[in-house]
Amino acid sequence: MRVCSLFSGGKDSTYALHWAFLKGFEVKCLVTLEPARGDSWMFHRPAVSLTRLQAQALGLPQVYRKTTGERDVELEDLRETLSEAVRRYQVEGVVTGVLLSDYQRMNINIVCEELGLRVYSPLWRKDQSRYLRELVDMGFEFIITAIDVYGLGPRFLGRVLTRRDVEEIVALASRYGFNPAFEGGEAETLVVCAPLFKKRLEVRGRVVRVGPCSWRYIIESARLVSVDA
Amino acid sequence: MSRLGLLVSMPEELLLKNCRYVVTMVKGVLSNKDVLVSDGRIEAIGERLSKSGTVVDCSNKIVVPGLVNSHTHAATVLLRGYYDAEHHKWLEKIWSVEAELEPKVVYLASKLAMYEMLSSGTTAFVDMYFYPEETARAAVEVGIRAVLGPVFLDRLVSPDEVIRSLDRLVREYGRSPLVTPIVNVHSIYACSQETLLTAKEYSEREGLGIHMHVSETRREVFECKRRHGVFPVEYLNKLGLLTDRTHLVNLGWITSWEIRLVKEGGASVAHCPASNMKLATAGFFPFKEMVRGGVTVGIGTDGPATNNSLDMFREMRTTVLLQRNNYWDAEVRAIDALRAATVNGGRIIGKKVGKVVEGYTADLVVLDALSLRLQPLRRDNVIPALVYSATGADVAMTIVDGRIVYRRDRVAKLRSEVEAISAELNAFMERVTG
Repeated sequence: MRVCSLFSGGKDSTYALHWAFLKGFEVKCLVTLEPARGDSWMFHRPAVSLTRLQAQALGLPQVYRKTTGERDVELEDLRETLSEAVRRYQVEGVVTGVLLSDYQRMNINIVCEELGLRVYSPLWRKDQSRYLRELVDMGFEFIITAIDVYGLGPRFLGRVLTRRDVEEIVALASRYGFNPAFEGGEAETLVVCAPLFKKRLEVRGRVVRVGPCSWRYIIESARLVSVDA
Repeated sequence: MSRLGLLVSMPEELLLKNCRYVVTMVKGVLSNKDVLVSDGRIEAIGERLSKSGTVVDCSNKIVVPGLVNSHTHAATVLLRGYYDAEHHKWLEKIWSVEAELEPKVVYLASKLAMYEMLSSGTTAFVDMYFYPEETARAAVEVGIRAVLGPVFLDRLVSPDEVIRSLDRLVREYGRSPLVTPIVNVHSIYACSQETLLTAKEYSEREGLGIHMHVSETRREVFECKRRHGVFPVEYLNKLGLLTDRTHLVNLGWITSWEIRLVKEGGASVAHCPASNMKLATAGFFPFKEMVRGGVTVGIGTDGPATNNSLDMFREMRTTVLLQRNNYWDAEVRAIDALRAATVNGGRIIGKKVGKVVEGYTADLVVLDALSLRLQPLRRDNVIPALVYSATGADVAMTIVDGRIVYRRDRVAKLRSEVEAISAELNAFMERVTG
């Protein structure tokens, strides 16, 4: 099965990509849409341009397109971008990191149904706390780049999360009632290294408060270094 | 051969003596108990019970509630192994054969399916097929509980014809202890809105259940979205078709907000794991979310043309395996599948069956506790043994309404009838497809 990976650079799409390789799929390319708006219904914006470096780290080609981020228009953009992936790489399916958003799952499926593409969402309805723990245990290194929820402080921003951090996040999620894997957009993540990365992404930045419960990790520089660095 | 096929005896009283295990579904698994059946009901469960009537030594047997197949098309045994493809392609081919169906063929195929069901522990089934009066006739003869009715399916049958058939069925079987009429609606994609509303109106007027396939494939849900602006379950809700009389089947492509609609409407659902996998429908039946949400979830084999088995033991096992594979955890357990196939099945068909407790109707299955597949058997591993290890071949006796309708030790008597039916069905298939 030749597939493309709908890739935002966060933990979920990166994990789904690994799943696809372990399933024996031939992952032909990454497909990334960069929304102009921060409140896109379908795609993650923070640090999405860094997916270019992640694609290099993975050694995979990328189909990259900017989208308005407006509801409905971005679906048309998704259709065109996936069509391009079909044209260039003859993919038959799409792998997504959708966790629990029916809006995302069903919209991706609407577009793919029209294009005759199968959709694989391996994380769909999985236990979120368990998934988060396993990610760290399996060697996925990721940082939080944006927080938009009460209860999750800025101290989690910009550094690779440890198993201890994860336990704390799971406890905070339970106390404050948010999704521990941030399925509802409570936070955004960026993967800096993963089992299939041939290079590590080294980022530097600073923390900025943008609202009462909102912080951003503004990435000021990013480069690929050896995985052992 | 008995006129009643498998029907072996109709005792007023039946004593299942010294059962090694009794799976009650209420009070756990009991050891070394007698189960006394009188006038079709479980009168007592205890020790050293004695009565006149038939006594069956169950010292090497397990007694469990009869299994309810919450969704099938029994007579499609006719089409078992006929065509193997993805859902929509498969359906087109099957409909081309079904357009040629004859009442006698449905009668014979239904009977064959019922023999298979009784011999594998199914005591009741919810059916959707053509010429339901033929299936009803066979059910009464064979002694199995059937919930059935004609199918609203615009392409093959006119709604007026379906209504006439329903009228006949209600007239003849409205008070039958074994046959319960139901309004069958094939699907949203096979019926116009007008037909759906006609079905709803009939169901309301006669107080009958509605049974339909919904959200089985990706194509179906997006066609519905394009045509009606909403997903299938939302559409049914809009039409007022989600009520406590509604029984929905498949639901591999249901959204989270639609699960809430199912719950709020009080509808029940049937999960058909083997058929969904075989037809490659690629959905994800959200078993945990349904159960947590308080929805009554049953299990169905779907028709023998897509399963290809009617064995509910196999289907229980497949349910747990598929759910664990989907969720990547072991939260769905053997007992959940057994509950879906018994207690919930009873709720779905609206009968006091699915538990082995005093006062319940005696729809019971007696399994061979010495079966090699189940060893070493203990009280604490009976339920996993039933769900993961047993098959229908371990059923020694099946009881419906207090009557013994199947005994494994007498099945040889059926051989010539089964061979004759198979020959007739094969001749029909050759005529139609050859």
